[in-house]
Amino acid sequence: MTGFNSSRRGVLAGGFAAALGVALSGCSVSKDKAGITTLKIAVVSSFAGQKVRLSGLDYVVDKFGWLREGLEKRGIKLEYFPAPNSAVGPIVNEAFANHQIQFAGYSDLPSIILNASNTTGKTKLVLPGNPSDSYLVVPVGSTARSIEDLKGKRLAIHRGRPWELPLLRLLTSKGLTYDDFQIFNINPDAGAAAVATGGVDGLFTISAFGLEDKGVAKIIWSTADQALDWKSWGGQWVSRTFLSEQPDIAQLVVDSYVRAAHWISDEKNKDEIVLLGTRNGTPEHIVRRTYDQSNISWKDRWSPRFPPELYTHYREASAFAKQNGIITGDVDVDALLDDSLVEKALKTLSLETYWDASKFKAGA
Amino acid sequence: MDDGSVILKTRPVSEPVALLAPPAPERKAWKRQRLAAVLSPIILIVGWTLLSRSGWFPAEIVVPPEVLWKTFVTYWSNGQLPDHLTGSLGRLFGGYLIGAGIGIALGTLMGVSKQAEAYVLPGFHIMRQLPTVALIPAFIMIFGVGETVKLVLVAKATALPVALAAFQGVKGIPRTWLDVARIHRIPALTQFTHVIVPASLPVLVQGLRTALARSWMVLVAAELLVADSGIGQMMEWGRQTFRLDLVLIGVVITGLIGFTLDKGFRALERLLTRGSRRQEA
Repeated sequence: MTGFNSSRRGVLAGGFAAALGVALSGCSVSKDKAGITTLKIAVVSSFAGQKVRLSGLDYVVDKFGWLREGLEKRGIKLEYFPAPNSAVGPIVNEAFANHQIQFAGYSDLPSIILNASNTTGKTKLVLPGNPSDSYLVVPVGSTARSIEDLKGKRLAIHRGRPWELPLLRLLTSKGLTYDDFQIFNINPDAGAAAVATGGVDGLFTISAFGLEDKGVAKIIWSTADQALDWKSWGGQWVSRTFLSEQPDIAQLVVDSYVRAAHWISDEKNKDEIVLLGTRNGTPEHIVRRTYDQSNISWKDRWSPRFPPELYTHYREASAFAKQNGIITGDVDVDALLDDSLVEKALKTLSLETYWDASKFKAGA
Repeated sequence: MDDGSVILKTRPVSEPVALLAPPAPERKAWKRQRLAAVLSPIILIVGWTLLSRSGWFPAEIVVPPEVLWKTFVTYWSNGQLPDHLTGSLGRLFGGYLIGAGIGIALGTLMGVSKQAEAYVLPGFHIMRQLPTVALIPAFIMIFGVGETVKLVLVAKATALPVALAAFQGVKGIPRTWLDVARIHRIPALTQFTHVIVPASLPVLVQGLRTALARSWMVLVAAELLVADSGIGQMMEWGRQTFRLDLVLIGVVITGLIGFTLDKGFRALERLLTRGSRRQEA
């Protein structure tokens, strides 16, 4: 019996030591900031078998191999770090804080949350992405026609996600707060099920066309008709540590992404991008509608430039996040947005005059 | 009838604790276990402190214990944590009582009636294979996102193991006991209260314990997805806002509550089984 106990203790101790070893070895890899051997870019993604399924700019960068080849010449491997749709912000933020990734394509609010914290894994936006819209939907039989009509009723929102900002903004513009509603903090899938069955009286979401298409809900408000700074507006973020330690590699990444943006912005390549959007099961007409309903032209949608609205957007977004207790620290927006890499890339690729930041503004 | 009366004598829950003290050799092992029970959390806290100070992980991810304690005190004193706890425990006990009631009734019915067993048992086995968490979206469609869905989820997670335990408990009663009761023309209700319930109680309590632990986990998982308050919701909010201190406090509280509930039931279980062992000796 004693023998059994001691051997069991031995196994336990061995197991503990092994677990600690694995944890520490994983840690030492993640701490290897200078002179990386693998560049990791986090992407919002689904899987096809074992392979990460890329979309948008990531897909084009991968398709032409510009970045992979550029990195290989320097002895660096390219790896995509998939962040599932259900928890993009937390996963990417934790990975940046733990220095596990160097780049990530994700949206505004989670990056504001990360940069308002005391982390050593702070980031910079080096390439703005596609501004995207949010929608207020109600059950199909509802008589509500505006957010005011939902006062005192059940409203679903997944809090802390990028689309919470336009909702807060909408509420503030109407002199309302969360206290005027019965708020349900639920993820988009649960929210869709709830609004479809009348379990909630309203849902604020980014995926509304599918619900409308199925005839279970209707859109009563969206950011599509609002100014640019109302939209969710993320892009490619880089770790500040990595940027200061290996600016040439960071520039190579931005060069490749600007090249990809240029390729996509050509109308003749639109169909290929739309088809990519259907691989997760979204019908083609919904993907097309998402792109076409916006008041931004296809070309400008892919502009890598930093228009003045982007700065306004981040200032206001940070202020909203703080007012509503989502963040407690402050965010230095000037340190957060860095257009120098994009401007350099545009020069290298002779695309300085291709996109005009002021036209972007006019388009909105 | 003798056997039945033994059971009646051996099951009183209010038996004095002194009578249940373990014999000397067992007491030694029991002391060792107690020591280990005290030591293991201390080792965990010391290990956690060392890890958080090692610099291997950022402090935002492996949050130092003193920061966790500070966050705990802040959230406790501003009333947020008690609110979340009350919300979660209210749902747990509400759903658990409903689920346990349904489970005991159905399980006993299946145990005493062959016909009920034939009708209900296959369905139960199918339902048992379905993870409750996977049913959350479907349940939201049926029961909405309010309190009902959480109560139903907890009740579902409770009812199945309890029903199966009650069924097994009743099935395990020696046929002769029931025959003796019948020969003596003991009324059905008395048979139920004086033979079936006491004889099946140890197995049933085991099922009730498993069910409580499972329900607690299901509830926290459900609160992560759909709630406006509760420990799960606090953890979800902490994760979204990069407040891993809140997530970790939620983890510790979830663990402590689960542990306490389990310990409570184990004590009850011991009380019942020791009683019968002593009587058999």
